[in-house]
Order: sequence, then structure tokens, then C-alpha cells
Amino acid sequence: MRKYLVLIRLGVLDSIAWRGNMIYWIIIDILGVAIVPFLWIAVVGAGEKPIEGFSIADIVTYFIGIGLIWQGVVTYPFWYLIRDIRDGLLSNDLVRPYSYFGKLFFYNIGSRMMRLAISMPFLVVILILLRRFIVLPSSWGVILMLIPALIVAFFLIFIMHFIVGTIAFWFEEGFSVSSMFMFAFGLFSGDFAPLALLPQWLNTIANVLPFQYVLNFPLQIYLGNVDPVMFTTHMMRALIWCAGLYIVYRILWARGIRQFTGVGR
Amino acid sequence: MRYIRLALLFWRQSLVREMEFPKNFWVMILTNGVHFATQLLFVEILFSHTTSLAGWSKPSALVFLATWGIVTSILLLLCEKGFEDFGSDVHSGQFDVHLLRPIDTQFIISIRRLTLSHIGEPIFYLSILGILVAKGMISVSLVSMFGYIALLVLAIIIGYHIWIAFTSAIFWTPYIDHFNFLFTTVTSIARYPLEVYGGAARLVFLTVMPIGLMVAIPSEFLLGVGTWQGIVYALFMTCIIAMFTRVWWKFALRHYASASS
Repeated sequence: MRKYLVLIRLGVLDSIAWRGNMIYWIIIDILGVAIVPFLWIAVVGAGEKPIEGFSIADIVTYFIGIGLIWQGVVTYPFWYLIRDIRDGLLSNDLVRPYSYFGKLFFYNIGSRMMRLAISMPFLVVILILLRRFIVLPSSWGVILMLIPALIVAFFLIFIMHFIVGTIAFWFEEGFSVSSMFMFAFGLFSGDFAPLALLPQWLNTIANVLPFQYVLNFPLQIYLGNVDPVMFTTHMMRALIWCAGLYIVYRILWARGIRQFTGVGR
Repeated sequence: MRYIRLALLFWRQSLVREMEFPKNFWVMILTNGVHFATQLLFVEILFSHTTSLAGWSKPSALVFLATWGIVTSILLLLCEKGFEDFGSDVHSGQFDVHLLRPIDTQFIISIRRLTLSHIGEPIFYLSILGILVAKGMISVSLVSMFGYIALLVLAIIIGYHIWIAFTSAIFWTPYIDHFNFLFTTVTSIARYPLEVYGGAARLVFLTVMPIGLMVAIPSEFLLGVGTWQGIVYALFMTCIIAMFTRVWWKFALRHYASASS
């Protein structure tokens, strides 16, 4: 376990060393997320009553939450995996006394902790500017449900993105496939809109897929739209997804590693 | 003439290079198609809850989206990979080589590599306009059509100069990955009518950060709500931005530290 603690520390230290890069990505993420709430405010503001139960304050809070989850929860192991497979760097890790999956997982915990910390000044400014529109959690129960939901979200998006990265074992340029995955993720996770605002047919598809557990579900908990029974049911489903995707990763990794030729090594 | 011949040579090389990985090329075409479909779907979702977005109807919002798509995809086609390589060249010190060449450095980094996977996108977005006109959802006169085309050309020139102005910052921050995202993210603000952002947003995006000139002015002209003053203003701003960017690029170039020498 100590070696993984070292990897967490490495994630933190790398983030500090490359802080300029990190601030750049935080700004890009904030800008990317900031456009959508304006559109929804224009839509909700045009009507006289909330749409599907969403007021302007709910929308603003929802998208601030999206921004925070992007900073603290969503990781991109496929960037490392695709690069390491393509350049043959994976060979170095295969002979080291840790699993590559574990390496990226713990490294990302460290880097996300740091990224969240660096995001805080930006968050404070946004909260001050938009304080009129912020919905506060309705009870401590909300926080108690939110924490495990975010932990599951972290694992779920990590494993989905890791699986996307394994495509590079068979496909020359896995980055193009990862872009396609990101579009699907954006649509079905609640990144474009709370899932309740999607048309029925899209909502039905989104409810079958695991993406909702990364963004929409934690934010619905925060907004007080999830009761304990609903929470338990959804958490069970999310955990089943985690287990299923972990098995998929193991199968793909075992097969992919046999394909790996270690180019240039 | 020499520059045109060089551009054609660079582009032929890009084609050969891109065709070395045909599978990747087709997947990228498909990915860009999915991106286009997602954009359309999002507008559909927004308008399933309202009939007007900050005073603009759905066909008008689609004109904004199509204009943004045409302008940005042409720019991505022409400059994306070149600017990406520029970042890594400055980082590694390879940029020295371009400084020694007997042609303008800004020209080389801008057009040396086409990103051919964006080739389908202008057609996708043009087809939106075609469908809107064919279905009679927008009415277009000959004047508004020619005005629109002229403004699109200006929009591409303006977009290019904003992009190169952002990209010049690489001389101070060569360690930042994927600097192109800054341009694509900032310009995506202009994908929807500027009134959506409320307050002084329109003024800001037409003057200080003139991304509005890339989309709002041409779209409004096509929709028949633009004015000739708008065209004159766009022309004036294009000259100002082009001059400013050239000065800025030369200033930034002086700060190149060369990692290898």
C-alpha cells in the first residue's frame, strides 16, 4: 500500500510542478461549463414557471456542481494509457512492482486533490458573484449521501476512461475514439443538461447507461431530489456497473497486453 | 506567388501524411460527424422547452450554429495541426529551424499542415443553411447571401488573427499542452446568439474580445436583421485586428528563448 501512497504524493507534486498547465486547464474547463447555464437560464427565464421542477437557482447550482465535479472527480487515464501504448512507454511500468491501473488510479487521486485545491479561488469568486442563485444543501443527510456517490463517481469515470484507453492496444490512434466517447458522455451524463430536461427517449437511454452516476446523480442528491430509498437503489446499480466494468477492463487488459509490442523499446 | 506555391506543397504533404493512417482519418471524420449531431441535438433539446432563446427563434439559432461551425471548421482545417506543432516546436527548440527559413515564420506555422479530418464539417454546417432555406424557415435574398459570404470571409480572417494572437502566448508558456483548446473554447461562446449572455456581453464580444464578429454579424446579415454599417464595422475591425496581431506576433517572437541553443 505504501507504494500507492507514494503515487498519490507524486500526483500532488507533479500538479504543483506543472501548476501553470493545471491553471490553464481549470480555466478551459470553467469556460466550457460556463456557457451552458446561460442557455438554460435563457430557456427557464423565458417561461413563467420552472421547467420540470428546475428553477434558475437550481440550474446555476447544478452547473457550478458540474464544474466542481470536472475538477475533482473526472480523470482522464486514457491520455496516459494511449500515449504509453503508442510510444512504448508502457514497457517501463510493466516491469515495476505495481499494477499500471493502480498507478494511474492513485496518481490521479493526488493530482485531483491538488486540482481541486487550486480551483478553490476560482470557485470562491464564482460563488460570490452568483450568491443569489446558489441552492444550499437541505440537510446533513444530503452530504452523507453525496460523499459515497462522489467516490463511486470517481471510480466509475476512471474505469470507463481506462477502458477507452485500452483501445490503443488495437487501434493506432486511440485519441479519436476517446473524443467520440466524450461526446456520448457529455450527452448522457447530464453535462449538457440535467437528465430530466432531456427528451423522453434520450432520458430513457441515459437511465440505462452508467454515465449518469458521474454527474447527474450526485447533483440530484445535492439538489435534494433523491430520497434514501432512491439513493440505495441507484448506488446498488452504480456499484454493479463498477464491478461489471472492472471485469471488462481485466479482460481487455489481459488480451491487449498480449498485443503490445513495446514500439521503440 | 511563391507563398501560394509553398502552401500547395505543404498541403499536398499533409494529404500524404494523413493518408498514412487512413483508419484514424475515417474515425476522426466520424467523430466530427458525431460532434455535429450533438450540437444539433442540443439546440433541439433547448427548443423543446421554449420557442425563443433570448428573442431568437429556432431557425435563427440554427443559423448562428451553422455560421460558427463553418467558420471554425475551416480554421481548424487550415491551422489546427500547424499550431499544435508550433507549440511542441517551441517547447523542444525545433522552432529555430523555422526562423532560419527565408519565408515569413507566421506563414509557415499557420499553413504548413492541414487537418483533413475537418474537411466534412463545413459541408455538414452548410447543409443546415441549405435545409433552412429549402424548407422556407429563413428567407434569403441575393443581397443577404452575397453579404453573408463576404462576412464569412472576414469572419475567417478575424478568427485566424484571434487564434494566432492566443497562440503567440506559447513563447511565454511553452509547457502548456494543447493550447488550441483556448481558441476553440473561447470561440464556442459565439455559437449562440450573444443576447443569451445578457448584460454587456454583446458589446464585449463585438469590441474587446471580438469573437462576436465571427458569428453574430454574418448570421444577423443573413437573417435580414444586419445592417451595412455592420459590414463596414466588421471590415474596419478586421484591419485593426490584423494589424494588432502582426505587431503582437513580432513582439512575442522576440521572446522566443530557444530550448536547444
